[in-house]
Amino acid sequence: MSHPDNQSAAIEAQLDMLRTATSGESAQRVREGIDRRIKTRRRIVALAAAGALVSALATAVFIMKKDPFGYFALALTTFVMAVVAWKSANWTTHNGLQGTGIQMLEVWRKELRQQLRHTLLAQLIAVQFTGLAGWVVWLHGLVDGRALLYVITALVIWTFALYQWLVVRPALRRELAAINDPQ
Amino acid sequence: MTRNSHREKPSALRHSLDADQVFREYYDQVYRLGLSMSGNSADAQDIAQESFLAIFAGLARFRGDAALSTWIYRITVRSGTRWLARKGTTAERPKREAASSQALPLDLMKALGQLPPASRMVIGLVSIEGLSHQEAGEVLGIAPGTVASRLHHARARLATLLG
Repeated sequence: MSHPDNQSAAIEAQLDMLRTATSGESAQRVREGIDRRIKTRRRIVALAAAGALVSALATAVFIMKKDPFGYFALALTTFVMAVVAWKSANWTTHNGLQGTGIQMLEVWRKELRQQLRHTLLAQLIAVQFTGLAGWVVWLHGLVDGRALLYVITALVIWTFALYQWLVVRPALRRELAAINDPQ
Repeated sequence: MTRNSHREKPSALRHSLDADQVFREYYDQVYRLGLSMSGNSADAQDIAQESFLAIFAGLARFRGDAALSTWIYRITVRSGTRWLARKGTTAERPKREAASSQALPLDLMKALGQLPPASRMVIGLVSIEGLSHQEAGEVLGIAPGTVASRLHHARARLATLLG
């Protein structure tokens, strides 16, 4: 068994290697990765904003024609697109990180609980879209452009909702547990 | 990159915050903290990427209530904690890029990976980044005494694992 002083010196020597560890070429790779992610985020915002605009115009056209599709289906689509655009554009870190350490932990917990609640929204929207898809299919039959569009959209939203339920929620719970009981 | 830049007054930087400059000045610190939390270089880069995305997104709103370095360390701690939570385990020990990590103390990295996340953070902030217990406590939102206690236990555990 090694002497405690030797052990401590050995740990210090290894920690020292870590203290002087250089990032090497990784900085460039990380910077490029960040730029790609920022561009992707901008594209999502632009696509969602364009989608919301097209959807809003279509809603107006259908409403003028007194087609119920405009009142319900397209209005909801516009709302979802606008929310996606707004959330993507306003993605940022909370100001609570700039306060005291205790405030930071409180803000962190609050944000995680909020995110946990938000994961339920995906399921709510999935149920709504499923209802809408059923309604559109009932109105126009399955062999119809609008009906197919809504069925496919409902499937995509269900996939996202399942991902939120099976992957995101457990990860958020683990993160919350790590803050509440760090040991 | 100065080792003591976490002691800078926030007012010194708040008027000249530029994403590229912040990245250049703080990348090594963020990367090292990521290393101490993840135990390997590839994952440390993932943590650094997540951290800087959040840093860049929040830079315009940075008020300077806390030191810039404290804010950056907090974001890194959050990104690292989230990364560990996503991995679904606190005992992940991959060596995805052992060849590129030859300059790193692999035994220590492996041992760090077996510590609880909270212990890795105090080792990273105090033993590697050189923050005082007070400063580390401010980053983590805990009392300096708690930092000291976690550090003591973490080092004892490291000694056992490396012994």
